[in-house]
Amino acid sequence: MMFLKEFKKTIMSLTYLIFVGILLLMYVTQYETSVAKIEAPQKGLQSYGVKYEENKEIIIPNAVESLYGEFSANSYIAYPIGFYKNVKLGDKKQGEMVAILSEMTGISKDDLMADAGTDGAGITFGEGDMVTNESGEITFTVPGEGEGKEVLPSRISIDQKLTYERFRELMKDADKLIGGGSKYSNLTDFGSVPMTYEDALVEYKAIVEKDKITGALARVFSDYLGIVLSIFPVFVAVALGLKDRRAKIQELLYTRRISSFRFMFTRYFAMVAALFLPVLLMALYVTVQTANQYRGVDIDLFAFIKYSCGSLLPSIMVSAAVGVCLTVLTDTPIAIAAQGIWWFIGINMGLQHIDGGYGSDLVIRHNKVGNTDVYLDNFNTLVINRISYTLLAIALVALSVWIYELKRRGKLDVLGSIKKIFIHRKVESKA
Amino acid sequence: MFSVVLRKYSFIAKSNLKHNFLIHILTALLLLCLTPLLFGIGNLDAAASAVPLEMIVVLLGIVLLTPIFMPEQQKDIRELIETKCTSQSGIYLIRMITSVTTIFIMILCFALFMSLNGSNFPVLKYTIGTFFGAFFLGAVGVFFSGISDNIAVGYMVSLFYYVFNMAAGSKYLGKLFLFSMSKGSFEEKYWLMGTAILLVVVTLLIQTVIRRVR
Repeated sequence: MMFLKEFKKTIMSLTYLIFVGILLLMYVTQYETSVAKIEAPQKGLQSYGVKYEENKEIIIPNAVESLYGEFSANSYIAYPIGFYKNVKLGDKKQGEMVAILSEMTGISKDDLMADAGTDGAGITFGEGDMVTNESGEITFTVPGEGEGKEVLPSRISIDQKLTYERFRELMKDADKLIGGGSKYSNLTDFGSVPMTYEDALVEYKAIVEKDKITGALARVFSDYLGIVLSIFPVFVAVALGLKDRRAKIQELLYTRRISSFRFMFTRYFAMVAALFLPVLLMALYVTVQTANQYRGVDIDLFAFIKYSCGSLLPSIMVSAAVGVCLTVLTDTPIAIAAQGIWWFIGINMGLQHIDGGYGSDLVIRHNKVGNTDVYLDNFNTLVINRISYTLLAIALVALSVWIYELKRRGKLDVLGSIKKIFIHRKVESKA
Repeated sequence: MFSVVLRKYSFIAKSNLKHNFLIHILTALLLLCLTPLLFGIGNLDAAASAVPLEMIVVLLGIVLLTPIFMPEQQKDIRELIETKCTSQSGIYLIRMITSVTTIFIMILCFALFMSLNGSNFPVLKYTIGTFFGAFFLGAVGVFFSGISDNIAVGYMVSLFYYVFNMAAGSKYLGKLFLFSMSKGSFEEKYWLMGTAILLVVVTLLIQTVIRRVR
């Protein structure tokens, strides 16, 4: 009975209606415009995209050249939590960096230091030269024949004794010196190679056979909706929490016979159910739409529902739980700021896994139709992530129960204490 | 006469600063302190310098301007205030001027701090551009909290506008795109400022009408 009352109270609130509007807007402007019909690749196309391979012949020269270029300019690009940072190293750390470069190239530290700052760094690779231009294309020059040798005033070579394992260790050290999140934290990014028709066909088959089409689409659906579902439930929770205070019924509620546990959890789950309802309806709608689009194809009719429950529901739960907990504690909208900051950091950290891969991200990103094997390879990480956030949400609501119980007994009044500190500290009665 | 009015409104401004505004200033300062931890703010070129300003510092508008109707959220306080002869619109204007001035000063200080850290960009131009964006986001919050009488709605819509800019880019927003300086364009900032002024004026008019009807 109370569940239904709270459910009704949630769906009748203005913030809930705006929440539904936001979901619809994200769905229409983002998901619908970014997903095209999945079809088998055609032979003879100019490009099938790129893929990343752990090929040391490609990775080592590319990575060393990049590091040398950044070292020369003492300007290292890094994305520690997804945001651009231009790192400038002090003399000591530049000294350590030159030692790393010296070991990888076999060139003395003094020569490297002297060479630093010269434009157009090139690299000697085997018998010829391998040069990466501004657009990232790799070209080779043969000694004595190419103009490149004269054009490039500065060049370094790879030490023939450098093993791939040692190279990885040194790059890890370089990343640490930069402060983490540099290009050298993920060396596979230096191993980009063009995809062939055969590669594209393998990817297509994975989508059809392993994902049954809808699995791949549901990941993109979850990606877009996850962005807003990780933040906007907090507004609904805060607005509902503050409603009691505005209506001045808090004290009245404290005197009711219902236990704090039952009161808080019923209220919370009613709110989560209401918040999840439009997601489920949209999942059903997109399932019907996709089934119509792929008539005669064997698709997974439950994929959108499964991804909604597995990936999106924990996001709703944790965002709503932060709203409930901090509103019960402070009787202020501070939860919006707290969740906003967490979301902002989370969404940008998630950019590192934007095409899949996952981690401890609050917002699960998978902004590519396909990458099925990346999803399957990281499935356990994904499951652990989502279960952890669900448990965190439950723990926050349990904490809210405890706080609520203290307030009921008159043992806690955070807002009153804050007011005393900030507002009335010097006010004296004029009477 | 003028000195009496000036004294009254300066008292209101001081009182607002002490009773309502302090917590929002602290939140805004926290946001500014967080920015260098999230972004690099030193040794940036003009395009890269616009990123922290447009991505985080612009949020000062939501933090400082949106809550101008917050003190009257409680019905009994509002009813008491409306019995007084002091113009409510005047009080809102005082709060708005306080918020807007604080936003501008904070943005200017942050831009100067970036410049001192070796970032190379036109400080005044970027300060004004960021301020216009912040004022617009705050005005969206003011408008929606004003017409709904719900502060959470104001925060929600203004934050969604920001999120939508991140997700959709300039595709759907045209001249009202928030992150134009990072793309090398300043024209959008004038549109943002113009729309912000319009939103604030409309909100104050609506508030006046609502009070008279009530």
